[in-house]
Amino acid sequence: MPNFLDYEFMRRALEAGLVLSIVAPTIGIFFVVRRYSAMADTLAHVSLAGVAAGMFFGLSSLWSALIACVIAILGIERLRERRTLASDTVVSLFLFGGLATGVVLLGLRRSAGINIASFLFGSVLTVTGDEVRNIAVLGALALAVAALLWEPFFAVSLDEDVAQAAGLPVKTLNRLLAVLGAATIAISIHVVGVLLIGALMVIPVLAAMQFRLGFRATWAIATAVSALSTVTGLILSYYLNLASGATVVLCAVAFFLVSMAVAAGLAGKRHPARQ
Amino acid sequence: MPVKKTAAIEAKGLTYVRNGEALFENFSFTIAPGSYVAVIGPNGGGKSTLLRVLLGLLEPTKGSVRVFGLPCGDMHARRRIGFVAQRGGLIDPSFPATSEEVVAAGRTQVRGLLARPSASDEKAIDAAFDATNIGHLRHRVIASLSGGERQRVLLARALAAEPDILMLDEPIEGLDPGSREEFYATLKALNKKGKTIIFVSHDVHRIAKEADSALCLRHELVCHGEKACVVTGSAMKNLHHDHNDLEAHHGFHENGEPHGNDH
Repeated sequence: MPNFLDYEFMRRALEAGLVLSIVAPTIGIFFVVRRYSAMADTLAHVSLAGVAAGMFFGLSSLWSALIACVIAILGIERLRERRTLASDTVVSLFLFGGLATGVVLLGLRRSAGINIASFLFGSVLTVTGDEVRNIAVLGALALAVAALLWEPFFAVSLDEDVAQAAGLPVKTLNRLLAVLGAATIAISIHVVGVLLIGALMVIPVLAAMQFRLGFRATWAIATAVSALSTVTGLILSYYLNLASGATVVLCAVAFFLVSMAVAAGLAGKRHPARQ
Repeated sequence: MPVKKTAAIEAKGLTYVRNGEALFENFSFTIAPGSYVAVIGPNGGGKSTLLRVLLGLLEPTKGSVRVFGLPCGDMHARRRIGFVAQRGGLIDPSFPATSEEVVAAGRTQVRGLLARPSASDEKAIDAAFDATNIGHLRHRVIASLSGGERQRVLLARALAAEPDILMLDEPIEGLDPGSREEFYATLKALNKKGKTIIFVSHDVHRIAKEADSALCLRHELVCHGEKACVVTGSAMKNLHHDHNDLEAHHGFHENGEPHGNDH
């Protein structure tokens, strides 16, 4: 059987997957600790509408998804500020509205041979060289912003009221974080698809949190789990002929279970009396 | 001619209306630098809202607040205030962070959004750990700390910004007596070093031993001033609808004497 790295499409898949595996937990850790998972899901569904709209304007799926998500973020914030609707209701409105818009628009382009499933579940093996470059550029930008604003993002995630009382621009930081989430989602579309995007932002972080360590240590473990899941998932999907995005996510779930067992074992050694 | 000292807090004609109902109306008071002020009153009396207005988290419907002569929304004014929130409203216990990371977060605004930590940040963080006697907890994750230890970490976070004023919103509610006493002792020591303390509390009986003046409110400013405002109980009687409520909540008898005087 040939080595999977002999194929260019596998090398491109690995490159795109590895960029995502670093970006997703880096932004995802802030979403998890702030319990923003619903926001990530909503943006993922809105991104489908962006991808579909992009096809009408000849835009790449990555950039059109990003633009749609940023518009959605601004819309969500505007409606939240009006305080006429509950916050979770506003998020749901955009989630269902985004998904429905995406399905309708993609349906209109069905004659062009569009495969909706590839957007819903990912198709990393069909990523082109240009798309890998775009993913790398957007990923590097997202990582640079996260690295520059790591401390303010952490302070706001810890306690919004205290951060605001201290004079941090909480609203701006929240919007910026949502935009970084949108960038992560745009990067993820080809690798894991709209329906599984949230998984790589959340599951590696949850796996790392089992060890009850500090914020930076948790991030480091989450990134390692994410990278391992991506590489293992892509290799398994190649040799076992499985859906690549779903296999990556299943690997992340497996690493989460292993982390839980190892963390419980370590806690038992530290506190034998509790066993 | 004596130089007039700028008030730590100066509130003028403060009114806050929510859903058409005034939580408080036309409050005016000043707090001198170095004071230890208890903010007391019954549930729903507007204590926490007043604190949030003083912090600049809520815009008053009418009136103004000045912090050391500056409007409370001014960045320089905000940097002179440290805030410790209600225990129930604090960080999720599963938040993955060490005490050191939490305390260091208190320096974020002081050094600037994009600036990297410097030697002066390290010094301020060390001093905050020393002032709260929690140096031994520095590398522990907050999930592994007791409620009392966690509140001291949050106090250290506020101190890391080197504020002149500490505002605390019922920070020790629900803590065991030992942890409460430790917390009070730390605040007393900080007050002796010149920090202005503004402490919202339910525990009138206990805070009376600590504070040197009080803001007593129930929608209106019932009493503001010297310690007698808290300890005589006469003002407290006015804060409650009936004396049973007073006794049940704060351990004061109808004559204004605390339960402790029974013996």
